[in-house]
Amino acid sequence: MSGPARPLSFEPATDEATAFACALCGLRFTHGGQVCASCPITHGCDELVRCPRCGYQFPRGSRTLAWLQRLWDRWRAPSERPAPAEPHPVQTLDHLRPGEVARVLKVSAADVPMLMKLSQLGLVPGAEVRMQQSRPAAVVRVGETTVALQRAVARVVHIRRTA
Amino acid sequence: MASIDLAVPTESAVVLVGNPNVGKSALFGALTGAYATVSNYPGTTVEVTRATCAFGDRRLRVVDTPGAASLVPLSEDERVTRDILLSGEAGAVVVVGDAKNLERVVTLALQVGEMGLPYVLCVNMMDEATERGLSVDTSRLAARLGVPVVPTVAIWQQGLPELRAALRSARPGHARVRYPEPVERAAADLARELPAAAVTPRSLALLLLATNEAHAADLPAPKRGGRAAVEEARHRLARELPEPPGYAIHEARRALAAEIALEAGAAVPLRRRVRRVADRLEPLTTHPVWGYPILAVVLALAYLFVGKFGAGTLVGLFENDLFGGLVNPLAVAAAERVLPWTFARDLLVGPYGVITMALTYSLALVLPIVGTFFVAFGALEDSGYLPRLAVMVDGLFRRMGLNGKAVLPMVLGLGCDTMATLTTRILETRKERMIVILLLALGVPCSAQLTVVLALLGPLHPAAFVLWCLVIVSVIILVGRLASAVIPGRSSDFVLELPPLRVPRLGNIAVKTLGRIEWYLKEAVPLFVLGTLILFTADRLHLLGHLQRLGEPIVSGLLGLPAEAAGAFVVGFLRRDFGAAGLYALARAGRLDSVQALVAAVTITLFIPCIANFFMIVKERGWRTATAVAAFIIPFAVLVGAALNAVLGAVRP
Repeated sequence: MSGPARPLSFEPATDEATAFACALCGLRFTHGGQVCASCPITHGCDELVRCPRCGYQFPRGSRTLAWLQRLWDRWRAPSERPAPAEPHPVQTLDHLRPGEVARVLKVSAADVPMLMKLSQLGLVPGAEVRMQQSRPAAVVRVGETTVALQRAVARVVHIRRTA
Repeated sequence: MASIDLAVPTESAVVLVGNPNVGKSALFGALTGAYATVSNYPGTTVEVTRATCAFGDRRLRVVDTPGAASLVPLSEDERVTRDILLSGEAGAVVVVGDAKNLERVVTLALQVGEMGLPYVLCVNMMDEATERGLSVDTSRLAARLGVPVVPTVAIWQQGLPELRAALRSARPGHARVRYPEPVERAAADLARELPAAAVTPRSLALLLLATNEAHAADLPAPKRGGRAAVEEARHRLARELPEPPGYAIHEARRALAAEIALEAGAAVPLRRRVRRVADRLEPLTTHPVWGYPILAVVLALAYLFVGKFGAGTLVGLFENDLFGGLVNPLAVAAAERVLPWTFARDLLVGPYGVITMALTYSLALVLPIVGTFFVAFGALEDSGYLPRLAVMVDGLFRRMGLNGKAVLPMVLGLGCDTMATLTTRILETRKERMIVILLLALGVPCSAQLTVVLALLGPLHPAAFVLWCLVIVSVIILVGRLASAVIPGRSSDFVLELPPLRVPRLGNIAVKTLGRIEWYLKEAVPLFVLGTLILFTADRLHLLGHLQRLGEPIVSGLLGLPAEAAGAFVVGFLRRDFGAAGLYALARAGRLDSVQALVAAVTITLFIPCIANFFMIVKERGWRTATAVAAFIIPFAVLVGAALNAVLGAVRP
């Protein structure tokens, strides 16, 4: 048995965590555009981003600062805030936010015991799930059943948002 | 009276099987009058319970089994259930399910029918289904499955006469699962080679094809080729199917079950459900913010009830007023008048006397606290709060190579470490079971011990209790992390069903508490008496003095305790709470200052589990593991105590 299956990526990589603008030449690019593939320490340098056009390297930016910035923007101009982008309808269960409802498309756990266990709890294709909370562990409702599961497990359940 | 013709042969039994947490044990109790522990979380029953029950003029054996989602086991407790059905003991089966979740119980019922065992389907918890606006068409279910279907509410004893009557017409039913063609073919091929068994060859073949290696060891093997032939068939099947064989087989059953359940049950869509009060409370108990204050309130209430009311008020009443003021002086006076020999007098009422030590400790000191603890714990178990705790601690437990589910045996350990050791069966991997067994034996104080520690630390500054908690919790986390690194194997992912929150029923709490008190009296009191006799003998033979001198370098040197404490540690081998009670007596006599009391409390908490726990580890994991656990714990407890003594000694006021 191998580890949990690699989740399929349904998400276009354009959200703020992976989209950058080069501070030197102004090119807008996504993280996928970095040209560090042959660098031996590329695994360790998660915090640095390199512009694919001019090669300028800059830090990815502090998440805390970005959060404070958003908070500040929101406080300054609550009405001018852009409406949050409509999330992609097809995703994995761990992307569902509390209160959202979705239909299960497919369960892709790599090991049979996990597949069977999720199936026994009602997480099967076609089932309607409602996310109750995502932290400290995800809690979802499937019919009359309440199931708690860790994020790694939620990641193998593919869903389509219905509400 | 006409003799009642039961379809069940006398020598075989009625076996209750069902999904986890659907009330099998409640039904078992209602049928037989015997008590099986009933709680509101899955995994309460991890062993098989047997009792007899009158059906007409016959008495039949009734067997309660651990809950199983499927007869293809994923954990050791499910395996126990499978093995009972394969053993041929079952003359008839009652498949018990939750009326709110028909699909799941029908999946199980299809498997029982497939085995060729006559069964009755019992749809339990009808009250909760009705409350939620769900209806169950039992006649439709009966028609589809071809077996009697009885709606019940086991906790209120509703539907039991009907169930008894229905048992007479138990049948294997006629619902037949259609598996994918390659599965049918492989099962038919394998079935021809299998030796005769208590269940149909087809079901046995399917079981062999679906069961993974971990749980297949004691299944019967084909006459030709043995286990290797099964493995070969599994591999061939895996190549022919798009998904793993076990899953394909399960899905075929579930699909039919879903179809039948849809026909028989009217489901109310998620958004138009009837709202209950508990529905509003349920999300809060696991909420990332509100969950913690709620946990704090639960703990505080438990502490007030057990620590203040039980350990304070009740112990004062029992120990000072009843035993100190009445029983012991009376016993001493009676002994002086009736017994002319000093030896006999000392045996009963001396410093190591059966009445003055064993009975005073066990009945006056430990019993009131254990009793209140059992009440609080029973209420907590019934409420369904415990599994929600698993959600809150999942992250922390993950760092110890466990997952949130492991909190269930750990919290149960607060009741009794011995029983909790047995409950580790609900954990999925060997590694997780080993870690929890070790942590239970090392750090989780059982109710009896907890109470004496509370009594020992109660008179001190509250900081002492906080410090004690801190030390014990850090030791658990530290040893957990170390054990997770040292013990080979893998940990499982966290997936746990949360039962609905319910208002605890007073009747069930009372029955449960009485049952546990009876167990305490039967198990603990004789050991207290035995321990006292050992101390008495040692005292008579002047061994106690030798022992104290022998233990002095450790007890006085390392731990900084008076030499007499050695006696407490010796009887601590029998029961930790007895050892702790001995320390409590020393503290009472003013022989321990606050630092010594704290060091003593920590050391005895971490000390060797009671002898019953030790034998339970032997039973579950063998002598080698048990000896290794003991060999680690004794020096480790002393080490932590010595370290604490050294640190506190430096800052001693």
